Amino acid sequence: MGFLDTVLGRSKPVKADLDDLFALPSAALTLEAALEFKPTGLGSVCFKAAEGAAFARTQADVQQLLDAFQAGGGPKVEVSKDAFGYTWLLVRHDPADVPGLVTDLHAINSGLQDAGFGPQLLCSLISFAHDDGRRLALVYLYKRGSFYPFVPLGDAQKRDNALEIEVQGALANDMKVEPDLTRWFPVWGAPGL
Amino acid sequence: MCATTGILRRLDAEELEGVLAHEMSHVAHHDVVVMTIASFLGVLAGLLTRFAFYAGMFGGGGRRNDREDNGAIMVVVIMLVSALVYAISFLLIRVLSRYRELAADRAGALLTGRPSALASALQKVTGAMGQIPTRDLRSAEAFNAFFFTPALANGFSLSSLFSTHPSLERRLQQLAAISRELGQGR
Repeated sequence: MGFLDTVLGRSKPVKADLDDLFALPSAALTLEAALEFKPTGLGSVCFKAAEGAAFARTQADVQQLLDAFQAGGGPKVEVSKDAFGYTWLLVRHDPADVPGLVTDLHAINSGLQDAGFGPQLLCSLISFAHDDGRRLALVYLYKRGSFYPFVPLGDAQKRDNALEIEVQGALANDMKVEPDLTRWFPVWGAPGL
Repeated sequence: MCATTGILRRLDAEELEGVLAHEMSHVAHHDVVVMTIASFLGVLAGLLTRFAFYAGMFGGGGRRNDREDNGAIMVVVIMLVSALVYAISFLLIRVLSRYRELAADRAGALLTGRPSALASALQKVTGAMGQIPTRDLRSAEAFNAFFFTPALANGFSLSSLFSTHPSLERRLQQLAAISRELGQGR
């Protein structure tokens, strides 16, 4: 981004690099060592199903894709829809196997991208839990190509901002954390949290 | 050292401890004395500039027609040199002040052992934490689709040269580094 780009209004949107997801295993180790949050083995992918006539076809396509995955020995995926109209694909894994979970999420994302759902992908997240019951999710936003932490508090749609800042500090060396705090949008009620 | 009722309301106990530890580190490091002595020469140079300026304006009236104007030139030279010294010392004192602030941050963080409490106190006080949104990602998706570019490159601003405190980012960076050090048990 140069001065000319700013003046003339050109912009280069960040291309989401799915390989960023592979920073998650080392981040999980750091989180466990520094903050005692252990992975739950749950990861999910969120995308927006198309509206109108293409809606049903998209759903069928996704289902076909996932069945093909499973038949080919892929991960078991649970499909759900939320109140905002977004579709969530939830993957369950053994909590100790974070690399496996990340590989599965990468496979699902690549599959969706290759099938043409790239622009409709919203985010991926994997969740962690503390012994005292607190949950933490690391959310990867495709449009920004970076991660950010999300710590919901109870049911009242509150977040633990101080802990999120702490997590940002802890993971700054392991992965690309979103530097712009105004982009840390919460995902209330996401499957996998 | 005083704490306002406002800060007592805004911060929780740990964060308040962090802030007070930071301020007590200033006291322990004798920062007021250090800054006073450091700025002594600069202030002296500034005074000299002023006196030379006024001396040149008002003092030379009677002599000008009788003798060579070496005196006037000397006054101008003194004024310019003093002004230069004052300007340079002003900037250097700001650099020193920023360094002492980071040192106090570090000392305060190590004193309480909770650098992240100080970090979150800083963010609460500067309002930065208020930037973290509560609106759900899914309702903000259209916003995400746009790629907003900042007009100026990130980081540099003229005010950062003149400020007595380092930028919030810099302070948080240092506190995060201390947090990592403590986390690794060093």
